[in-house]
Order: sequence, then structure tokens, then C-alpha cells
Amino acid sequence: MTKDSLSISVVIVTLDRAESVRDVLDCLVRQTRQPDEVIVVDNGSKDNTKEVVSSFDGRLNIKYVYEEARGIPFARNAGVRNATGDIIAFIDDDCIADENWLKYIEIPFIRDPNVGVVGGDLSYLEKGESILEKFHKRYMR
Amino acid sequence: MIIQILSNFCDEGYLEKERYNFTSPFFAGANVAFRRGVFEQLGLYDERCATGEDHDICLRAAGAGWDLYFQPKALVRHNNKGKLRRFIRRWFYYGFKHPYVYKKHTPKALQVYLVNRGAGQGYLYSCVLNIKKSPLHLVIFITPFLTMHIFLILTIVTALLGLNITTWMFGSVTVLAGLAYLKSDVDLKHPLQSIVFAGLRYTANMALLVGGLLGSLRLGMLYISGTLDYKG
Repeated sequence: MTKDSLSISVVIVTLDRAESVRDVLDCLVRQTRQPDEVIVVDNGSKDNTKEVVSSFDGRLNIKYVYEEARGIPFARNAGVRNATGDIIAFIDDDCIADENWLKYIEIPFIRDPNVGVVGGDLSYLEKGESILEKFHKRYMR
Repeated sequence: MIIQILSNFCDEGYLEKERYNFTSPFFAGANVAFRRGVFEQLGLYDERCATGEDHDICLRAAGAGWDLYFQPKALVRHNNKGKLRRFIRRWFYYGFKHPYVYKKHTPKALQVYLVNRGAGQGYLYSCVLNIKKSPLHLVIFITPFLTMHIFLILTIVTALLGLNITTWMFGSVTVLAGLAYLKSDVDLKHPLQSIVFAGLRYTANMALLVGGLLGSLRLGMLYISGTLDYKG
């Protein structure tokens, strides 16, 4: 059975990158298809990540989760356990999503109930000017 | 791992069925979404995967019969601020931790992979040899990088033994493999940048190779990693 609409939880795993978490959350506020829930999993930050997350109360349905066990899979799992959406979408804490990101992520899930995983494209932020950043832009995605 | 992450030669649509093998493309954890039912059926991310947890869960989902769909319009931009030391450490770490994911999904075997130049649907490597009843657990990705080093070692050994003709033969193959390896870095409009890129890519590949060797030996196997190449 296919549903006309699904609920989406976005999970962001982070460690000591409060300012870049602010950028990710800003880009979620700007989504044309708003997330139904945003979960920030803090994997042990010593900076003001928690305050940055709280500052988005009211603009996003946002939840701060602290995960003590260090490591990406532990933190991602904490996100999944706290998510209530039909779809659980991951974005990293040093990324910016295009404003139609969630709109396009949702389409294949609605169209076909056997679609379990949807992956989007990755590219590099244009501001990269150091030689290492240029290198990443050329060789990696 | 980089060698299998879906790249720009893949169009929107379903990833191939029958794709449940280690070199199948997968979605990077930085931009991926799951139906809740996938986690309900398969459980969560494997917490023993220090990296490659994204690769592992895509393999498990595909193996359980779920479809994987690539939606290039769902675009995420990555900010990769880099320091050289961190860059080397990261590639070493990818190499070091990846054999676990490989071993988990591939029973004891001797497998040889070749670069698949006619790559479609994100397949960068083809398995050209698969001996299932192997006493050794050995996997080799044959790349220009690896070929260059093997023939370089042979050249040095034969030179030390005073085998002149053989040395010239091995030396020539070393140079050809080296040129094939460097081809993707050369940009005649930016010669200095080409040299720096070649150096960085060589460093990353060496870190990946050494990491993979050490990481796999710890698991009682031998894993000769694929490399990082520009894919046009």
C-alpha cells in the first residue's frame, strides 16, 4: 500500500561543530518540503552545540539527543531510536542541503513501497579554495 | 568506501537488482534516507563498523530484497576543510577499518578485481577471479597503482641480480603503469596543480593500501585495496 504522504525525520550526528550545525539547521528551515522532525545527536561536544540546537526551537520540531558512546554508528543508531518518522534521512554536520532535498528524497518512497533506501547526490561547497579543497572537489564526492 | 560510492556516471533510478556483492555501489552516510521498515527488519547500523557503516547497511538492505533508489536531484553539498595530516590519517583509517566490512559480507575466498572501465550503474570493479574454496582469505584490487609498485619492486630485484634484459622489461612496464596512473591528474593548463594533485592522490592511495594491509592482517586475511581515481 502506498501512502500519499510520509513523515520525515532528519538525523544529524555531530561532534564539536556548533557553527556548522547552525548552517545545516538553517538549510533545513529553508526546505520547500519541511522535515516533520529534526534530531541532532551530539556525540560528545565540548562546545555550544546544545545552545545552537535550542535556538532553533519554534522554527523546527527539533530534538537534542546526547550519545555518550563515541563513534558514528553509535550516534546514528541513537538518531534512529529517537526518530518517529516513516522516513529517516541522514545529513552530516558539515553539509548543506539544496532547498528541495527532502522534496526529492520523499518521492521514490511514496511511489514504490519496496524502495527501502534513497540516496542523493553529493558535491562540494564552492567556497573551497585551498589546494586540498580543490583536490577533494575533483576526486571525491 | 570511495571505490564503491555511487558517482556521477549513475543516472536517477533503481540500482541494479542482483547487486548484493561487495563492490556494489552504495549511498554515503552524508546523504541517505531509509524507510523505517528497513531498520525494523534488519536492525540498526552495525556498531562494529568504525567506518563503512553506510556501506554495510546498504548491502544488508539490498540483500534483504529492498530496492535502493538513486535520486541525484536530492543534492547535498559537503564542506571538506582539510589539513594534510588529517587527510593522510583519514585515508589510512578508511583502509584500516574497511576489511571488517569486506569480511562480514564475503566468505573466505580468493578474489581478484579489475578496474571496470565500461562502468555502468556505479560498478567500478569487476570480479575476474573467485576461488571459493581458498585456504587463504585474500582479495586484490588490481589497479595501475598496484601494478606500478609490483613492477617497480621486480625491476629493483632484477637489477640487483644483474639481469639486464629482464630489468629493462620490468622497468618499461613500471613506466607504462606509472603513466596510466598519472593520466587522470594531468591538466596541461595547470601543470603545478597537476603535480600537487598527483602527489596528494599518491599519498592517499598509499595510506589506503597500507591501512588495508594492516587492518586485514589483524583479521587473519589480506586485503589489497582499490584506489582513489578521478572518474571524469
